[in-house]
Amino acid sequence: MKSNVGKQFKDGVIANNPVFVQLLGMCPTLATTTAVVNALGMGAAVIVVLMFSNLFISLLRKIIPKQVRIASYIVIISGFVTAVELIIKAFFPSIDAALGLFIPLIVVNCIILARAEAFASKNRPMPSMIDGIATGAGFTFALVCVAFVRELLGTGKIFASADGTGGLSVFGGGYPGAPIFLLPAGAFLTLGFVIAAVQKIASVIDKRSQNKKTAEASETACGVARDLSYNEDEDT
Amino acid sequence: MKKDSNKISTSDGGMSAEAELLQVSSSPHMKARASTRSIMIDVIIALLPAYIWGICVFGNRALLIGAVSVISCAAFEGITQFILRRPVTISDFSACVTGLLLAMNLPVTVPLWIPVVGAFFAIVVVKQLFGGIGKNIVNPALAARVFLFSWASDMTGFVKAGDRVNSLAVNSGADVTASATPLASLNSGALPSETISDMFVGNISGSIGEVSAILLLAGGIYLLFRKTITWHIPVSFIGTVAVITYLFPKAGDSFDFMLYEIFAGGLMLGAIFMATDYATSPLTSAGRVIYGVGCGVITVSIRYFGGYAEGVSFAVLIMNLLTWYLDNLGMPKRFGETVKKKKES
Amino acid sequence: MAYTFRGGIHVNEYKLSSESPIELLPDPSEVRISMNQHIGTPAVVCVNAGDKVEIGRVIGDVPKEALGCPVHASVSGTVKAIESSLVSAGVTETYVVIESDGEGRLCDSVKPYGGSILDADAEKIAGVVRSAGITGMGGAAFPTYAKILSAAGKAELLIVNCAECEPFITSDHRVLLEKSAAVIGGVKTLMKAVGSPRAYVAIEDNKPHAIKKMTEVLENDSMIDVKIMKTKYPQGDERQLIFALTGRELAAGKLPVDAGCVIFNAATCAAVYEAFLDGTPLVRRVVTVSGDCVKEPKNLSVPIGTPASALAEYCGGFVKDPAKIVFGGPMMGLAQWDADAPVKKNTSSILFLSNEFLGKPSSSQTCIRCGRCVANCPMRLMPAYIAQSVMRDDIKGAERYGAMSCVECGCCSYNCPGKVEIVQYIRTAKNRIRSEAARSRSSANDK
Repeated sequence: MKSNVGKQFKDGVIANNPVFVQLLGMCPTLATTTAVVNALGMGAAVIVVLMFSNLFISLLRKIIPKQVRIASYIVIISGFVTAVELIIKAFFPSIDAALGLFIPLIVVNCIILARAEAFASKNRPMPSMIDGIATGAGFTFALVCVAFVRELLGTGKIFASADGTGGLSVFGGGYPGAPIFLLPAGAFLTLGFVIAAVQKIASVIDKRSQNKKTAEASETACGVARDLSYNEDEDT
Repeated sequence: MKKDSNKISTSDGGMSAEAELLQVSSSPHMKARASTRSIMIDVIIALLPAYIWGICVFGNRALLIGAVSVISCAAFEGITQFILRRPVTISDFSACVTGLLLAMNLPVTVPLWIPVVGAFFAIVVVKQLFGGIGKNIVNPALAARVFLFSWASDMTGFVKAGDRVNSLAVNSGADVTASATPLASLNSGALPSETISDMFVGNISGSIGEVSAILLLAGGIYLLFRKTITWHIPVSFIGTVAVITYLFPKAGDSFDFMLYEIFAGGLMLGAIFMATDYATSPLTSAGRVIYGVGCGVITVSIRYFGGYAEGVSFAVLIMNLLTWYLDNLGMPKRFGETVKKKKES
Repeated sequence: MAYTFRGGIHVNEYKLSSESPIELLPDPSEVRISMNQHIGTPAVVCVNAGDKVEIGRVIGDVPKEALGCPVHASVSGTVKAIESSLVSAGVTETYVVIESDGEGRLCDSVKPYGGSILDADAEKIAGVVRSAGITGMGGAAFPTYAKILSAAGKAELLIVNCAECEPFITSDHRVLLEKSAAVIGGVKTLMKAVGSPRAYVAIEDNKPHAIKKMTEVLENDSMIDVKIMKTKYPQGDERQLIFALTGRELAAGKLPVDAGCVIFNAATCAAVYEAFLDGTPLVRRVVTVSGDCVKEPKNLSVPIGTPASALAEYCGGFVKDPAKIVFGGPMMGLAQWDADAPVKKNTSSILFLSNEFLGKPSSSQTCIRCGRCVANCPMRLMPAYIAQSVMRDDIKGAERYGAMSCVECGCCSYNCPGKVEIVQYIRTAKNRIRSEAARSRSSANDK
């Protein structure tokens, strides 16, 4: 059970990352990553929605007829999104001001529907909930990566609070800022470069693990050969 | 069978022992001298008069910006090709041309890191990441200029011609007496205060390389003469702008307004040097004419109705994206197809 | 007024040998006569080693129904051997090697045409042309008798192709100057055979002496006119010639007879006349020896089968090491790997080119999309796109941009600044298209 949870998390965050690998949910990725704080807020909202919607869809999976399943999933998801939106409006108004329309847009975020269709509708509640959390974690990780670069290059500061004040100044006061990175064009550019970097790292890791596998396989083969030869010696 | 050594007698009557192997390759066996490098050198020669004028009227800083731009472009190209394990081709001077064009598109008061950032975007993102020379989808220098627009305050410090800026650092306030370019006046619906001959010669404010229409035209004629570019794109581009601004002037006499419009802004530089960039313009004559007309229409639309004063950059970038379609649209009529059609009819 | 066509390129003409009169090469010690001298079925050897032969004796024959014409011995002597070898074009050819005895004896079968040409019809004339073994001497090597028969009654215009647009070659130029009577005689014979009322002698304007000579000779002739063509490559290509002279465009895959014309090379016309006048079959031809490696570029009249090295020796040997030996012109000729490669009926010139002339091969081929190939292509294709389609393995795309209509003239590769070997890519595309068509045909037949 435990190893399953670990594997699910590894899948959701790294191997099957919804943004970097599956390239889903591009719209909020590009729009809400102008600051790390905003990215964390968005990510948290998506985790909560994913967790609960996966749980409930999994609980109801045997009852929902196949022909109306997508509509039913949307109803369930929008219920949770509305709840999350009201909570954010009540307790985190600055995040609400920063994210604006993108919180209600979580309803049509491909990631949530994709996980519902691909996983929650076919698996038991507990694994579905874990999958929701893992996928959400992957989404948050991706958003924070992109937001880190954009905020750093765009304003010269990171971890500024939602209303734009404060934050750690990394390049010092003289940094003129690169407003392009806070604009949509910069979002696309940053996302492109980050995905390229992720793919490169993934391919390097892949190659290393393949080399390791072939090394292990040849070692096993040698070991078997050694065993065989010892047996022969014994016979003679 | 294939002989390894050829018994060829040389002029001294003796046998040339073990002469080199003969080359056997497919025809043609003769090639013209033109190379990418010679074409790029031609473009640089054509650009120099307008650039030198920019240095004369805007100060030595223009030379510095040009140098920084060219060196950064070449450096970025070399580094990127080295990292990506491609053959390093800085010696074909295409990066230098991009650097020079980029510098000529900047006002003289830009901070020195602007051409470096622009060079990075032009060479690494637009050119090398898409596959290198011949494979970029948009004009690298123009794309870099548009990328740099986001630093709006740095990119609009235009100086009057004659107010030479010779210092290394730019004190906005002391050195820069920002003046409105003629294009800005035209945009607001009034004829600018400069005379038409001023605009033709280049006694106006603007980017380093775009002010002198006559020198740019001279460069264009040189390129036409060297067969580096064909007349289709510049004539159709400038012609379309001329026709539309003549028919729909915003102020003053039609003819005067038309002349102001075609000499103002980056139209001459864009039509002759940027729109004609090989990789991003159509190969076929018909395609080129449509491309030029399209550029002209979009330029005038942005100048008249858009928020930006200058429409040339965006017009060329938009038409660049349509190049493949224009090529297929403008495919020349195959030799013999007219006869076929007659026979069928 | 000079006629011309659209597209094409201006190349350095290098007509180094245009003032050298035709010199008779003394018979070489040995000739190797190929059986693959023409388009169609190769000839079958009909002599044995040890046979004694004379000039004009048939040594290779083609069955009557097959496309082809006989091959004759070009020197008198003994057949030394019958050999097979691989040539640089990738084909294995059979050769009859004759050791010359230096006597130049004529075979008894060589007899002048007994009769009046005015009474002869297309069949008779074609028959004489066939047994004289005459094929297109401009380079195409298409059997002339077949051209006569296919055009008989259908061609209203006969064009004599003396354009000689390729650099270095001057053999047709000298033939016009020194054998003008033979050329005109041949033209008239062919006009009678094909039944065309008019003929044009097309000469490029870089040969003013030839134009003057032919105009003088044809002064009182109402049926044959000299037409001056603007010097541009590839003016000698038959489609461009027809377009320049008549304005009719011939699509790829169609023959000149579809435009009402028939085209013969000037040397072929002279050979036809000699076949009727003396009965001599095609055993000698004028070959230009040129390039930047031979001491004295010359035009030589040589027996078919002479090795290239013998011609180079006669021209004073080499002043530079030849890096490439080309049969034909530098734009469309065939590179040889054997310095002793023998002269064939369609070898208009042999070029010895040095490394300096050829230039260093480029280390990278990059298309910069300049569009020069598209502007220069006489067939108005899109060569850059064909090459790029082949690089991407997109054969359908290559066909769409016109690969099969290409005449492989080389205008595109010549001017390419990126040094892309466009013609080679187009040849690859053509091969792939043909083999795929053959494969789909055979699978359709199987069904």
